[in-house]
Amino acid sequence: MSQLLARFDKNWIGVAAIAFMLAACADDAGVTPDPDPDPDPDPVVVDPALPADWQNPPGDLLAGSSTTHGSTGVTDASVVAPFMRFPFEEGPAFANSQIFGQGGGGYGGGAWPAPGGSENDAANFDYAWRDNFCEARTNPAKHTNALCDGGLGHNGQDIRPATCENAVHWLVAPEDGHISWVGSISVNVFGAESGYIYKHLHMQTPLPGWVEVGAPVTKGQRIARVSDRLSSSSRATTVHLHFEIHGSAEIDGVMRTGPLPPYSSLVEAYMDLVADNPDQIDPVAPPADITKCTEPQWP
Amino acid sequence: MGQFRTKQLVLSLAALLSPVVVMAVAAAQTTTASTPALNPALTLSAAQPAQEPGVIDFENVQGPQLGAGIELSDQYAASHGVRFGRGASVHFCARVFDDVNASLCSYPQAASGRRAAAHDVRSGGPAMVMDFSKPVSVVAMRINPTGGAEGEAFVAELRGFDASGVQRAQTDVRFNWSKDAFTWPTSASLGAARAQLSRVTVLLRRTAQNNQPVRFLIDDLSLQYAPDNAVSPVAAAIAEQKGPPRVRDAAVVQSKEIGAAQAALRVYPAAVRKRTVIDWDAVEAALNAQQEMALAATPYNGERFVAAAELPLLLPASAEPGSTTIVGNPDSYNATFKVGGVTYSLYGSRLLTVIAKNGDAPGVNDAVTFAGTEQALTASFSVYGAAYALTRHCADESVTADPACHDRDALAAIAGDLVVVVGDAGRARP
Ligand SMILES: [Zn+2]
Repeated sequence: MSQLLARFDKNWIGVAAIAFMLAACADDAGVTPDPDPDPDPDPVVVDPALPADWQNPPGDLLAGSSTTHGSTGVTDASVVAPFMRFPFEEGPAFANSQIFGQGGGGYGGGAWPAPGGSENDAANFDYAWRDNFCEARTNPAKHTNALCDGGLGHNGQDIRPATCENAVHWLVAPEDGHISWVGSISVNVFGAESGYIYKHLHMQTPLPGWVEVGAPVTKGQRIARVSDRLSSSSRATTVHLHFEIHGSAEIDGVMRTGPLPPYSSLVEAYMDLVADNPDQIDPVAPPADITKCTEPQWP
Repeated sequence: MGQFRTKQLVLSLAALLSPVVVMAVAAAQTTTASTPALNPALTLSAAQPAQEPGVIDFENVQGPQLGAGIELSDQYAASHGVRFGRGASVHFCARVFDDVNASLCSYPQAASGRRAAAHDVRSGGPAMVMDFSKPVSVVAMRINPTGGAEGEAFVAELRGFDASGVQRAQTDVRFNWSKDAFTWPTSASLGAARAQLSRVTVLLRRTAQNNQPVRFLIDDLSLQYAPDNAVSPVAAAIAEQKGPPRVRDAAVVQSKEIGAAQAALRVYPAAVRKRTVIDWDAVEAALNAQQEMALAATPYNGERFVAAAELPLLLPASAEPGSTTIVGNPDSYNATFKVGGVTYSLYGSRLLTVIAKNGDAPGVNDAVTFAGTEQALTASFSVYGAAYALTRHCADESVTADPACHDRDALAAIAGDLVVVVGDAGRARP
């Protein structure tokens, strides 16, 4: 992408942090430290990297898009799943709003107006990432969320794959573990390390026969393709992954089991993905033909 | 409004369960004193029925012996607690009445004796309806179409509903009819040892003709009455709770994969996770109480996860046989199972991820928190020191297509049927 944008590299930050720690130790001891006896054999990856402004911070929702028309989601930036692999096999990927993105339908009968444009607009497949956990939802029967403004909101993070092509991009297991649920449009994975349930919605059906409840999966194993399915008979949403991390939490000293804020975990996992695959960062030009987004035809 | 509704439900659940709470607490007090260790004799076995089953063979129904049969309604209300809905009648199936107008029987005799009960879809609607004044747990019968082509495919659909009309049991029996049978070859049964069914419906469909409901006969209707005391110690312990589940004595744990070096590479800090302390004394009391009640989990897949679990597992006592699959690690588990044809998940964990909510969010204010989504309804609660979530999955993952999946009372009824299971690792009280 652009050379005008400052580069960001978390490995560089890590090296700086470790160097600082070593210096601090030296001061305490009052002696010159020995050179590192076991230098890291891997060279630090400096380039290519993500643009400096590639991700908005956790809890910073689109202006006015919380259920109370605020813009605050969960601002606690803690990474709930630091052991997680990014859920797409390949980048680039774009975490952002579907209903308030280009081509989205808006929400609440005009209370949150539709933005216009179309699903495959380039703006939807570009940085910066945007947290949409706690994004506006108003039906208390369908979107209870104790962590969101007004007790209501979106329970996960929406992520677009590299392009709007339907049933092309692979979802992979975020951790070693077992399949814990297979629905008509969803697959859940129980993570053996974390004990979390990773929930993936809008998957293509029918799923491969080896994805069944109780089956073991390994981190990075393909489990389904990302699609635009809302149910077995509806393709009314955009091509995207709705990603949730479910687990038990302590909130204000109280136990509750449900969706945890996934955004910062996805940020970390995405940086791991691009560090290993530096060629998978840059946005792909959108297809000129909008029907690309909805192929193949039903089923 | 959401909070108000939740409180109301918790109150009604507590009111429903209150006599049992007293009993379960009393049982826990006596057993804790006498048996200090977890009971290793707890095995997976079917619960015992509270009463002997009754069989209705339709032989003693009195009335004029006409071609239309004898209308069946409340003849077995006093003796068996069952009333039949419209369209049911008793017919003679003996050869001596082989005038076609005198009998609907397609075989020369009833499954037993000389009489069977017929259901006419024209006068009674598609399904034979049986309403029970005393709930039944298992219903079985012989079933037979009044005729058919040789080898023709039929499906018998049995459905069971609880007192509030929620479907709790379902069976489909597919068979091919043949006239070359000496007696009725097809049996169908519905329910499970812990089910509480107040209404049972029976329907016979003709597969080749658009699954159209057709006239049929039943005989040897066998009833197993539901146990009187249907509420598990787990449900009683949940119903006792007043406020939100507070975290006590949890210790911070370090994830294996987050060493100091890795942490230094992160833009955002790793979340703090805590491991809760399990109240093993309360678990042991529940194990003893449920054993006295002959309450046990239905058999499941995933024994190795149960053996390694360092938390008490909650599992259903009335899941459909073979439908429960467990996955897990020592601190957390997930079970999926079916009751009444509906799929549920039950997640439990003693690992808590610490999350700070923003100031405008309500947090958790009740003992049981219900959360609905387009795909499911979940009840989150805590018992014995661990956190659990029971989820009912909507058919086709769409509450729009399956509005019943958001019925909170139906989910509470499943919670009322949970039992505690402790594996080898759990017996060491980790
Ligand atoms: Zn979503």
